[in-house]
Amino acid sequence: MDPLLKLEDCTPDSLAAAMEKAGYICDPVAALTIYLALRLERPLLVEGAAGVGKTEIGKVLSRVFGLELIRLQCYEGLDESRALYEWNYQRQLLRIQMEQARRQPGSPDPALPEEDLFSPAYLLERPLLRAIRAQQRPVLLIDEIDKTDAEFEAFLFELLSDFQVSIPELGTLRARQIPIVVLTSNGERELSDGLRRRCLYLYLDYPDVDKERRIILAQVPGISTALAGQIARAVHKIRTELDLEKKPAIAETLDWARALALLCADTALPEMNAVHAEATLNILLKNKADQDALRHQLRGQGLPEWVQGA
Amino acid sequence: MLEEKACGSQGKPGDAIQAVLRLAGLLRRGGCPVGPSEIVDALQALTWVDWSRRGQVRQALAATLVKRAAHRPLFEKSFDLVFADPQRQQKQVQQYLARAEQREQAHRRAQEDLGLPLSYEDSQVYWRLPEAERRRLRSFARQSPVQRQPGSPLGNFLTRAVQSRLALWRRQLADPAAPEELPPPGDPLLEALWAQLQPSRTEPGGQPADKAALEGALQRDLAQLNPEELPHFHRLARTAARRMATGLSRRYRQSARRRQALDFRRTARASIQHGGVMLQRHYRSRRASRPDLLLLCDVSGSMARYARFVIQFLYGLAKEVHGLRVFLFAEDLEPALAHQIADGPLSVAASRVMASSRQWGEGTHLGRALLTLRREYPHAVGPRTVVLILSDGRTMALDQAVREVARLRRRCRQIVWLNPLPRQQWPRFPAVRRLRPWCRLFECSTLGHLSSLVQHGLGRRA
Repeated sequence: MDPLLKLEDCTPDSLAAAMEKAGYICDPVAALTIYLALRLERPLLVEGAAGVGKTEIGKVLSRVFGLELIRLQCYEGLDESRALYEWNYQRQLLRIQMEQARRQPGSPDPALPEEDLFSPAYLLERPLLRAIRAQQRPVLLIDEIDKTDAEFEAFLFELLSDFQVSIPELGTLRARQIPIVVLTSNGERELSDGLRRRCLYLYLDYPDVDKERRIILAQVPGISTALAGQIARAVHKIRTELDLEKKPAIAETLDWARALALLCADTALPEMNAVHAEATLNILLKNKADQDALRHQLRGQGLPEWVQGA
Repeated sequence: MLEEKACGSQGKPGDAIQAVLRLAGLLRRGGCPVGPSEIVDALQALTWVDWSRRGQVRQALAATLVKRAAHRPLFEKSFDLVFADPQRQQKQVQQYLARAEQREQAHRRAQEDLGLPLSYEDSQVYWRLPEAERRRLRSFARQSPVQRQPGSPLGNFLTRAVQSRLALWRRQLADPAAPEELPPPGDPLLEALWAQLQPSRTEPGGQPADKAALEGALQRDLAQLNPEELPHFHRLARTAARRMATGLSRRYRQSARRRQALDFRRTARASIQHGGVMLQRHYRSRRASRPDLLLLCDVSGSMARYARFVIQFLYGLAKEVHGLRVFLFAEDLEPALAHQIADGPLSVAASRVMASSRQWGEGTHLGRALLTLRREYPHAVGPRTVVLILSDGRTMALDQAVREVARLRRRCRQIVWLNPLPRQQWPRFPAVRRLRPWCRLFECSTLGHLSSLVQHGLGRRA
């Protein structure tokens, strides 16, 4: 994977440009925070509502710097055997069995040393250990950290502050290369002060109209500038003016944009029309109550007219 | 966008360190935790940014010092104060010192007036009293100068009596705009900047303004939540509801994901196919049980302050828990249909709940409400039922309420009482003391409380 930017040549502006080249429209505030996290070699904690592009930061950084992406998807009940390491128990057993079969009764062969069984050859690396032992600096994406238990969060402290982990049988393993760590959270659970202290902090909000228009233009090939602008304005208005149970995320905006671009291309229309918008609303709003709320707000007029009336 | 103008005043490295320390000081006072490691990070970050671009300095400090979105407005204000024109700051320091001197004099005069030692806070209350009340206090405190020697029984009594009187007035004058106790002497510029930051904490109407900026939404009273904080509240209410709906059972179930304990029986059985070698291990974890949830929601006049919270909690819980039974109570008890509450958007649900109930705004009679529950809805409570009471506990006929709560406790799995009154006020209400042995009592007046309830309190068995 060829890097778009070298870490040592990185500046806030060049980073924003490289991320844009990789398909991620990044505002200067986010670019500067990511740049500082890289320079200070600190984990970056990204918070924000679902679907504002938090996870994408980790993926894009791996593309920009041409580094391996190691992802740990968190969930309730995640423990260190799934996140850090596990001994390959079956392989250890087989080794013992083979050793027993090889040795004749009464043979003077020395017994199998215990440390042989607890050597790196019998270690099953999970994402965190893989990031620590990687030869080349990886991007470690710890996604949805708020879904884990508080105990697991505390377990991460050692990794995030000293970039090392302790394995009782092997001792402390230090990172060969300090990974670029991105943690994401959408606030399902309040994270501890300890975790926050170890990270640089970035809050991502829903994009403004201009940024969303640029995202649509970058991600939906063949869409007209006018349609992209209309969609961005409509989504922005829906997010800000309606009391929704679930606000549309960027991914949903892009799906809607793709659908509308397709329909517009079929009908050779340069802009959104009310019938298309109405027929594809379920792509944007994934909840009946939210769809009803929008229809109630429209009061019979078409979506393009409603947006125009802003 | 980041501002492009220069971050002028702090030219020398020493000035920058001072400025960052002042900024950290302001943030700490405003309730944003900033530790030494964050200050070190901030100073390191400043070496990587362009000082001629104020926006970069601002964002570098924000990313390293502020770790919660709710504290960002406080940061913005503090940053603007700390990184302001030095001449303006000098003027602010002079004004602050003049004000501090005035307050000191007022404090001294209040002590001389009464002839008693007073705290700064008490002396400020003293000067805000009506003249007649001040005269009365003065004449009371100045009785028999011989007997009110410090340390003498009468002297101690007089001091305590005056302090109690002033404490009473402080509550009566409860005005958030009242000046706070004089801060201890320290960095005059920091004190001056903090004094600048203070007025924005409250608005003239007495309603806390911008408090999210200062204390964070988690410390906000639920009755004062802003609309933009509601999604966070909904998430917490949903998580709380889910935790409550899936309390841990004492029974275990097979588990591939969560490894709480080795399932030795299944591991041994599986070893047979490998000639007795335990090649595959099996695990088990605690089984989540689904208790029946019964919500008793106090909608009396004293709870009117929390009506919004009550409805939102009700709505969140009803949306999450299928088969939830809800009763509203005040003077008496009446059932509410959970599926109707959860139908449609929150605003519709709120008006529906308000319209359908006759109990809103009445007095509280918990005993009668529980008696009605026992007599008219005997099957609503069983051994698996978790009864959730959302009430401030201000009730008539406390003896009857205690009797009924005790009876209810014997019939259900547990009673969880969520009390929106602040914990400090609990000792003032005998109901809290007398009902506590039968309930798991939780303070629930801020998002922080709800969050810690979700993390530590709920879901565990009594």
